[in-house]
Parts: sequence; C-alpha cells; structure tokens
Amino acid sequence: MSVPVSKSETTGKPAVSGKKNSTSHAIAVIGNPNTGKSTLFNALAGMNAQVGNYPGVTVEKKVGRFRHEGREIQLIDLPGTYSLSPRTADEMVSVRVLLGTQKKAEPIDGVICIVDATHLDRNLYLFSQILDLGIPAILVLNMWDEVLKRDIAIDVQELENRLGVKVVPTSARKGIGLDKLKSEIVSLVENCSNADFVPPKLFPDSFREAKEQLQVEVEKRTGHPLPHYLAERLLLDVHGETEREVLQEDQSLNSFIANLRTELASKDCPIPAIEPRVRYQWVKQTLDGLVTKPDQGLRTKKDTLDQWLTHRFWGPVFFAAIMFLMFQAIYSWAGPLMEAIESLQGLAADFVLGIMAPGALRSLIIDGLIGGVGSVVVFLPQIAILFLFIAILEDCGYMSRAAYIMDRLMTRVGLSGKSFVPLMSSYACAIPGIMATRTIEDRKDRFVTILVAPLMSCSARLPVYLLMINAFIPNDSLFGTWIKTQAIVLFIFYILGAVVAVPIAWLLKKTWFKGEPAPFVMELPSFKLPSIRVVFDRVYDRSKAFVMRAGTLIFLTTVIVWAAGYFPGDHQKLDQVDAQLESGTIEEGSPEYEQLEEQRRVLAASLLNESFLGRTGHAIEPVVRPLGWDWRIGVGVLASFPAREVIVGTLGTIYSLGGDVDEEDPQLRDRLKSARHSNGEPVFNIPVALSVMVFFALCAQCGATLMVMRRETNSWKWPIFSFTYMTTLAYVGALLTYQIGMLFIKG
Amino acid sequence: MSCGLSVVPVECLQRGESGTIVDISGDDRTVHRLHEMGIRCGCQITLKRNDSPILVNIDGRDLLLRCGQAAMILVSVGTTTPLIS
Repeated sequence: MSVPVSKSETTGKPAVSGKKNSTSHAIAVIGNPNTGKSTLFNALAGMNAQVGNYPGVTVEKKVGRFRHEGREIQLIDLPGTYSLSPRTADEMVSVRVLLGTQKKAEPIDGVICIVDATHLDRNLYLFSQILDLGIPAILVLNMWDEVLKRDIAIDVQELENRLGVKVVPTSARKGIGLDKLKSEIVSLVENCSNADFVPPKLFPDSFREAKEQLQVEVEKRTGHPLPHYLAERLLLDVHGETEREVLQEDQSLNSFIANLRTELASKDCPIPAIEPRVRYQWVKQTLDGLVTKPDQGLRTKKDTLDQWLTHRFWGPVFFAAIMFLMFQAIYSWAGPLMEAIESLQGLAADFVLGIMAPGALRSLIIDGLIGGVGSVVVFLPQIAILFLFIAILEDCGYMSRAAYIMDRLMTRVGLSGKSFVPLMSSYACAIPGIMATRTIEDRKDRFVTILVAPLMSCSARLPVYLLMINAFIPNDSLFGTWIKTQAIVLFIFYILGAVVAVPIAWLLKKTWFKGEPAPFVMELPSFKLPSIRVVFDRVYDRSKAFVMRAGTLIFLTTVIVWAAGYFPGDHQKLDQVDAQLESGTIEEGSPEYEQLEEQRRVLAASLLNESFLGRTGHAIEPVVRPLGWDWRIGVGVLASFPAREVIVGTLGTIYSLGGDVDEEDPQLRDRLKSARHSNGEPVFNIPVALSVMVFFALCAQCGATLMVMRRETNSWKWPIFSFTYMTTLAYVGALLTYQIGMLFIKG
Repeated sequence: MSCGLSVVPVECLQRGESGTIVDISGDDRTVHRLHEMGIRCGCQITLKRNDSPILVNIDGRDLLLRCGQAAMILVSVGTTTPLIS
C-alpha cells in the first residue's frame, strides 16, 4: 500500500509494533526548533502536561494526554532539534525514547514529526532520520495558514504516497487540522498502519556493509546487539555520544571504527559528509515537483520592519523603549486590579474579626494568612503584566532580534547573543532561564550564563520593589505627566542586576571559563502577530505557578514566622484588650479608647520582642544594623532565603503581630510607614528602603534556583559559589547604599 | 577589472548582496551541524547585516552566524559590475 521513494532496506525493522490492546498508547512528538511544536503539543494535550526529568540528564520529560474516539493517547514531548545525531548525553535521550530503551520512559507506539510546512526541504532532514528508525510515524505540516497566505502549493496526497506515511496539514496557532491529526494518531496506534513500512534505502552499499560489520563486531565484543540506527550513528558521529558510550564498554573498538571510516572515505563515502549528502538527495527526490512557491515578493514589509529593529542605532533604542513601556505598564495598568485585591483582603480581615473572638487561631488567620499570603497575592496583577509582555515578545519573534542587538554587548564580556534569551527569561524566573541555557552549545558560555542568570530581576523581586517604592519613593512626575519617578526607580532596579552581571560574567570568562567566543548558528523565527491563545496560555501557566508558590511555600513560611513571633508568650492580656476594643462599649476616638489602643501596642510589641522571632532578631541585629535595618527586617530577610518573595509576607506578619497599626488598615505599606524604632524614630526612610531593595536585587534567595543550578551543572560547586558571591555582593551593596544614602540625608 | 563569477567568504559579501553557497569547509563537526540546519551548498544566501555575528537569509530563513575559526562558508556571486573600476 505504501510506495517508498526508493528500494527498501531490509535491516530496518520497525522498533515497535502493535504490541498491546490496552486503550492507552504513547506517541512521541518531535520537530525542528521554531516549528510551533510546543503550541501544537498544548493544543492537543491541553495545559495539564506533567513535567519531570529523565534520570541523570537535564532533559525535561513532558507528558500530556488526550482522549479521542475512545482511546487514551499519551504525548511525550521531545526537545526541539535539527537532527537525531546525538552529540551529548542529553541529545541521546530523544534517540533512546524513540528506540524504546530510555529509562523511566515507556515504549512508544509511534511518533509525530512536526515540520514547518513553509520550509519543508530543510525540515525533512530530521524526518528522514525518523524514517530510518523504522517507527510508525505521521508527518505534521504545521503553519499551514502561512502556506495558504503565501500561496505555496503542496501536493499532500502525492507526498503521502511517496513517503508511505500519513501527512496532516495543521495550524496549531489557528486550531486548524487538530481533529484530523487526533484521528490519524488513533488510527496509527490502532492499525499500526505502517508496520509493514520499510525505511527508504539512503546510504550506498559500502556504507551499509560497513554498518553491518560494525553491528556484528560490537555484539561480539560487548555481548549485546547494537540497534541498526545506533550503528549508523556510531559510524557517522565522530566523537559523538554513541561513540563515547560504546568505547566506554570496549575501548579497543576505537581502531576498528577508525578503520571502517577510513575505508569508507576511500570508497567515496566520506564520514560524516556522506550523511547530509544522501539525506538531502532523498529530500530533493521526495519533494520533486510537489512544492511550488510564488516569487518571494511578499516578505518586503517584514524585511523593512526587520531592518529597523536590528538597526545599529534604532534597534537598541527600540529595545530600551519596549522595556521602559513594560515598567510603565506595570505601574499604570495594574492599579485598579491591585486595589480590588487589597479591598478583598481588607474585607476578609474584617469578616474574620467580626466572627471570631481574639485568640491564637484568629491571629494565625489574620496575621499569618491574610497579612502574609495576601500581601504577596496583591502583586499578581503586576506580575501577570510582566509575563504578558515577555510572552508577547517571545511569540512575535522579537526576542531573538533582541538577542542579535545584544550580541555586540554580550561578546564584550565574552558571551554571545545566545545567552541573551535565557537571561531575558530569567527576568520572569531564573529557573526556566537556567533551563533555557541548554540551547547554548558551548559549555563555558553556558556555565557563565547559568551563574549570572539569578542576578536578573526575577518576578519574585517585583513585590519587594513595589512595596518599598510605593511606600517610600515620592511619585513625582518628570517631563510632563507621563513619566513617574516611581517607574524610573523600578526601571533602575530592574537593570541593576544586569549591570552587575556584566563585570561578574567578564571576570568568570577571564578566570575559570577562558576561551574564544564559540561558533554558533541561531535561527530567527519570522515575525508574526502574536497569537492570543498562545500568549494567554503562557501568562496563565506562569501566573498559576506564582500563585501556587504563594499558596504553598510562602504560606508555610509565613505560618512558621507567625508561630515564631507568637510563641512563647502569654496572650491573655492582649486578647482581653482586643475584646474590650471590639466590644463597642467604648466609643471610638474617646480618650479611653486611645489609651486602650496604646496599651495594646505596648503589649503586642513586648510579646513580639520576647518571642522566638524577637530573640533571633535581636541576636542578628548587630549584623544588619550597618545596613540600616531593624531586627524585624533582619528576621524577615533571614526567613526569605528559601524564596525571596516570602519577605513581603513575613514583614506583613511581623508588623501585624507587633501591633504597629490598627487592624482597620491592614495594608502593609502603611504598617511599614508607621513602624518605629524603640526610640521613636521611623524604621524606614529612603536609604533604608533602597538598601533593602539592593539586597534583594543581588542576593541568591531562591532555593529552587540553586537546586536547578545543581541539576544543570551536575555539581554542588556552582550553586555554592553562586550563593556565596551573590550574598556577599548583596551585603556590600546594601551597606554602601545605606551609608551613602544617609550622608545625603544628613548633609 | 574582473567580471562574471567570483567566490568569496560570506562575511565578505556586501550588505544586501546575494549569492549561492558553493563550499563549506572547516572542522567536520561544525560543518555537519551546519548541514543539518540546512546550510549547505546550493543554498541562496543574502547578507543582511555584516556585524559579528552576521545576519544572513538562507532560502527565506533568517539566521545569525558566527563560524569564527571553525568553518568557512564560500559563496559564489554573479557580479555583473567590475569589482575594481
């Protein structure tokens, strides 16, 4: 039924056949970068993918599910790649998953290969390797909407005939062809429609003979057979991962392989050049007469746009303008939403006050939960706006243009434009940022990027900045009404980390990671209008992660901080005063009421002083005093080492417990404004606020980032190094900020 | 002086100038990688910006390239105007 392009190769047995009758089947998803693979994955499997790791490597294991026509299909997402020629252990994972030999991955029933339909010729290179594996496959021609828009004609039916596999045109962004694809996947697993399919014969006879010789030899020496595809890789990938693994088992195979390669070279079959030669030859044959493209006159508008955006002068200007717009938006758009959340927070506190008598539980709910977690959630609108900007920039293709603009700067410190996208994503969160460094092939560049990534101002710092700026930086207008001083201060703090990263990266490249800038190739995806669905999905995903953290980690920390601040101590007297205040018998504003309130403040403050938290705080006060902090800030900062956004919650709890404010006004910024030292001086002034912000800008207060760093560098050395250098930097930076700031105030 | 076909490294193209890749030489691994990404002989290549890295368009796709010492992409340009007047 299938008509392969050329004669079949008998050795290529399908790796998997219709093995099971169960209703769940696994399908691998693979494709070149920039083919819309993850958009398609999300469109098929929804947003509920499980994410994990394969053991021993840094490859993310992403599994999604969908049901169609009574079948449950598991989709296993593989990293975007141009080829299946594993050069590293990470790249080997995809090959192993496809061969069904990867640990912690179940055998697959088939594979769908996503290609950019507008660039079929290049994308089919990977597909030809997949055919070599002999697995049931479907070819997905994604970006079909672009094909139609550009008047490209592709004879899908004939392509199907020539390839011998199903070909499905889709547009993941527009939701076109998804049902058809699901049906084809179901019928692929049901019928194993290409179980009798045999891969096209690509390589010349001499190569196949050498490969078979190699298979025999490897089995003889190591005692286990080498799959046909890996034998091919072993011959083709000089110093590749297959070679490394085989030689680890038997070093003496080295000369055998070398001899085979030399022999092949003499038979006009040079390694590795033979591979692209035969594969592209096959691609050319397969596509011959099937694709007609009109003259490329349509691209001029995008080209002009590109000319401006990558311009030597206007490119950076535009980039800076976009960044500034982002910070302005964070301020001006989020206001109403924040007020809504704040008033909800107030309502909730009032409600609890109304129905509960004073006591430990009420204190936990109001001071711990509402005061702690609530003060972090308030910042969700601003964080969502930040995520929105980043998602739009990523989706429309601007991010990689920015990488080009920044390359000149990056090469000055010894890195390349490739480090830019990971660093830019670190502005949302250092964790995906560090994981994005996997696209940097050069190990030295990658490590330096990982080590400076946590300096970028991630979204968890935003609450701290916003809190301090809102409370202590006057909101004057500059240059007319549009630009606000608060936005400028925020902007400065956002670039502070990046500015500090420059000398750090330069130093690292001069010392441990010496080397020339590595050769690199990076594809710039073409400009497109951002898809509302893709952008929304990303913002939703990341915001959800933020709220989940607030709900779990921050909640836990605030409860611990609350407990440490509440115990030990006899709260009976305080509860009595509270009950009296709330009973309504004493008129608000009367001298008696004021007296009670004062008594409450004194009681609360002394209870906090004697609590575990208070004792710890006073013990560390000498260390934080030079930074201008009081013991409460010190404790808050200490508690926020596992996750920096905790500071807002812990400060909320600490200042609420301390009874600095009346409970009608639960807003943290007002509590901070009214906080006093024991001598009556305000705790916070502008230098103190700036010192706190500088500390948070530079400090490595994120357990999760350090864990990811360990995983990605496979060593504890680098997270420990990062933690040490960043904490030192933070302390010195905060010290200088406060001391210099105070000179201005006194002077 | 000279007219007709000339072969130059891609970095030496003028901005906006196009040509056909005729040879990619250099270290095997880098060349193999370039091939896999679809950068190979016969491709139409246009130099869009000649900073480092260079920005080129190869068969309708924009790529940033910095080969450094590792590889050299040679391009044949059909010049109709004299190189030196």
